[in-house]
Amino acid sequence: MKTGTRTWLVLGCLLAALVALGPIVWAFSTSLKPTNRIFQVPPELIPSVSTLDHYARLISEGVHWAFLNSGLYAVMAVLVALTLGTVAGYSLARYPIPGKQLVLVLFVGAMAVPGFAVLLPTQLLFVNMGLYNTYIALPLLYAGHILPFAVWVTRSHFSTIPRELEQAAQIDGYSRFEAVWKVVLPGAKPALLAAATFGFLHSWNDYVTATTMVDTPGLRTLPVALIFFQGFHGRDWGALMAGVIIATIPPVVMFLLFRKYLIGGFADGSVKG
Amino acid sequence: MSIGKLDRRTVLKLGAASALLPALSGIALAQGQSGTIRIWTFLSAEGQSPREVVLRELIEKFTAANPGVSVVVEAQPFQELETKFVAASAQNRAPDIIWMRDTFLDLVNQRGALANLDDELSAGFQSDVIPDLYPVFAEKSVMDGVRTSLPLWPSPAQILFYRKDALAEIGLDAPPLTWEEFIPVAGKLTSGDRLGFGLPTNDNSVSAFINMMTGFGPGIFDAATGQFDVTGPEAVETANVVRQLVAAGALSSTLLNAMGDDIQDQFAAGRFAIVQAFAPRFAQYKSIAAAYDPNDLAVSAWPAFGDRPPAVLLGPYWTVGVSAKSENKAAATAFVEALYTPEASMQWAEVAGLVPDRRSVQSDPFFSTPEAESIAVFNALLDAPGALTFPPKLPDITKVFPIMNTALQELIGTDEDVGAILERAKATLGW
Amino acid sequence: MTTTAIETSVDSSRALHSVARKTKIVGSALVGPALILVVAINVLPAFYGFYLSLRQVFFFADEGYVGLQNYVDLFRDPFAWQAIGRSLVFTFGSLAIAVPLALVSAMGIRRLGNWGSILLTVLLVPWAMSPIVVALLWKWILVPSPGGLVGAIFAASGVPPQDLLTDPVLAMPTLILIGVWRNFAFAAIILTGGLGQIPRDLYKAAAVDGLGAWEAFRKITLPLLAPSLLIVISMLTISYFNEVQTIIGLTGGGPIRQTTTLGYLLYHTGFVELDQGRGNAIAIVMFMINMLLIALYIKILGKQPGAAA
Repeated sequence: MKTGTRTWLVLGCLLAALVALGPIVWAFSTSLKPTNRIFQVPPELIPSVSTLDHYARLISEGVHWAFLNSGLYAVMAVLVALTLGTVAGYSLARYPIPGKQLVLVLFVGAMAVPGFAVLLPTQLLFVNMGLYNTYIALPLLYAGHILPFAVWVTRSHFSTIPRELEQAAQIDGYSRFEAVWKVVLPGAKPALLAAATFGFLHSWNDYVTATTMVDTPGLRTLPVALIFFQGFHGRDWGALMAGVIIATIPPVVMFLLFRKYLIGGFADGSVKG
Repeated sequence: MSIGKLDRRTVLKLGAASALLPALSGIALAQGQSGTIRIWTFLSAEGQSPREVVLRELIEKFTAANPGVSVVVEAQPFQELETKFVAASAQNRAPDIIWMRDTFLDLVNQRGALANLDDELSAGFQSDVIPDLYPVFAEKSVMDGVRTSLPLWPSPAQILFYRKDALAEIGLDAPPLTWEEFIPVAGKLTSGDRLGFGLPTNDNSVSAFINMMTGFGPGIFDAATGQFDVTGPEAVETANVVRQLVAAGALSSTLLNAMGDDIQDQFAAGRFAIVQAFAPRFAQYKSIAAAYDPNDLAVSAWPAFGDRPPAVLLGPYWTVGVSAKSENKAAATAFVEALYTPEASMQWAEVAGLVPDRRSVQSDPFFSTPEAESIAVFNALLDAPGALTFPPKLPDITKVFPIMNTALQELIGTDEDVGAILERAKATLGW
Repeated sequence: MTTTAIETSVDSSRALHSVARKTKIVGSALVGPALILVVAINVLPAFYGFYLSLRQVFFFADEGYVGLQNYVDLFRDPFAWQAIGRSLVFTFGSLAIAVPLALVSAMGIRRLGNWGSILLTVLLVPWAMSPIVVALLWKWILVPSPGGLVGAIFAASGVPPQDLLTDPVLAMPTLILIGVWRNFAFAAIILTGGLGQIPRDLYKAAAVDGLGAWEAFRKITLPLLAPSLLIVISMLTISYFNEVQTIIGLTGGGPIRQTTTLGYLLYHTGFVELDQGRGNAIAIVMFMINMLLIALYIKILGKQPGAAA
């Protein structure tokens, strides 16, 4: 490659990285500034006076509980969706099921339902079922949202694995369950991790469902708790940006840990959706 | 009630899913236990703002005096209180006490969600306390002869905040109080990056257009319907004033859908000389002032039309009600009464800088101290001859503000004929 | 002998039948729980929403069956058509920037090797963020004051701070750019993968034939990348068409309805005006459009050789 092209490429990359991360760095900088310096002109990227007051304020108003709720809900939703989704994906790939086409259409159709469009009917249904404003309301909903994707991904994966693999294991004396557990599932790890990461991001990042399905402050998620800081007195930018940073860390860490599977899955075409 | 019908039909549809019910009902949070009062307000139980501190102290005092009762505050986003409350009431999970805006009283009351306070309030409260509240607010809560709520924190709502330093530049102490004089002054105040006048036009419960129209006095609202004439001469005249403000350079045609919060941020950064602002945010405006000296912040009534007195629109403001479905109405009402003791009024005033609910406490020496200066200013505005409230039953409350805001955006940002803009707003409202 | 043989064969076919029935039952039992959950969470509410769309429901009070009136009103409303138009502008405006940008990035990323995959990871950080958090973040960045980030950049280059979110001309392009910022890297991953599947020999052969870089791009890269491009375009179309949280957080549909897309109109009608019957009618219309888009998407995926779907 010519050096000229290379220089342009590097410059382009630096610019791209700056545009991608600059806003987040700015949010972090704002979150460390004392309130009366937030609107300072000209603004400082590295605050000359810095404080952790905004983070302390989030904790004093109980935002850490909302953080824990968000994490707990996301993990529960992912576990439920992956368990049910893998089982369903496997059986859709291996078993003759009456009305299989219809079942597949239902799963795909479910992906087409714009989540926020069915909030009102969902709320009424949950109230009647006694699920509204409970600890399991949001995990259950998130699991329902990410299940179609989990089914889709696992089914696609299982269809590509030759059946003979399990049959060989069964001849060796394994039960079918053991054969799947020990032979087939380990190979599905990338697909499962990709689905889990997706599921976690969906659940953690949701706002609209969380704000309509629970009322009690103790059940709230992080994004809902943050909205209170653009409250009755105007926006508290310091606290809001501290919240932006806190809300961004878990999905980004999750993404960094599993990016190999996620990017790999998308890049080689094994994960689509 | 028709909501019951919705519910029954829903139940029939549940089918397979209802099998989950028995297993899960144990997890459902216990609600409405005797001895517990749930409050929905925008104030948080853990909050540090002055009002939150006072509320917490009042709760502590109340539970100390009533050890059998526990009070639980469940904060909700302030724009969603009425909606969430009505939904919760229809689904039999409403809190016992609700904070809500006066403009929604009629609609919420129509849905049967509010208890009749005439039946609940103690005789002593009815005879001694209610007459001591500001009548203009207290009487607005009476719907068809029934007291549905009690007003809290009497205050003007959307009024004008201005910078004395900016007005001093053109030799004035305060903005003129007729539109005729106001327009050229606001135009002159625009200089460099600073605009003379800033109006929020994107909040769902605030309309600068209606605020301006109140310069014609309470007569703009039809007594029978609560509507105002969207295409009438007062509206046209108001629209013309908006156009003149734009022509004078006072209003910016690139600042069309700013919210009250945006205006507040930009005022702090020095973008405006005069803005429409929510009066109870006075202290907040001072604390974030960056581009000017906080002591230069001052308050004014709205200019009026012709020789009418300057206008002060007293609403939307907060009122407190008890849920019609509360199983604990006695305890809930007792707590509501505790918000209106003279001591409580003093706390709201001293800690949070609010005009006291009980007029009688104003003889306290605190109100002649410099600390209480802004309370005195607000008091004067409350007593102003041009003070008025929204009609008790402003119809289409969920639509009228957004529609008038869009019309105002069109007046500021386009050259379209004034009549056509107002005609469209009227048609969209269906009035 | 013959009879026994026949009997045996009858027996075994019966046995086969019962095995087939058994596997069908096992299969259904395994799919069952997932199916029930998906139906309960996604499908039932959609049907209930459809039911509500046939009734007049305002502020939680059901005022009775009105047939298709909500739909008729909706399609007679010029603002609804305007909203569909704004949805198209937002969706295709975002696509028009995101797809070429993703393509250029993908090509750069491939050239850079290991550094490229680090860059890709960095570019994907915004995609991992919550939309509501993105809205809060950009509201702060775009504060039209020299104390804000973009305001300071403008000020440094001698331009006064611009009202990017409240100017009727600039608001939509600003929303589009933020949408691109959030999502384009996701498209870049898929295109990076697609580029990786193009045999390098083809480029060598092209170089031997004397094809320039541009011609090689046009004659080799584009045609061979077409399947990946189609996937990217379909996925982003659905994602942009349904975008609503950043619009709620950043412009509230204004100025003068310029950013009122169909998704925002649904939010405004159902959750602000609380005209819930009509809100559900908009939801059903959006659902139909989504179904169409997804059907198209599946068709495109299905045509792909070796597609997992």
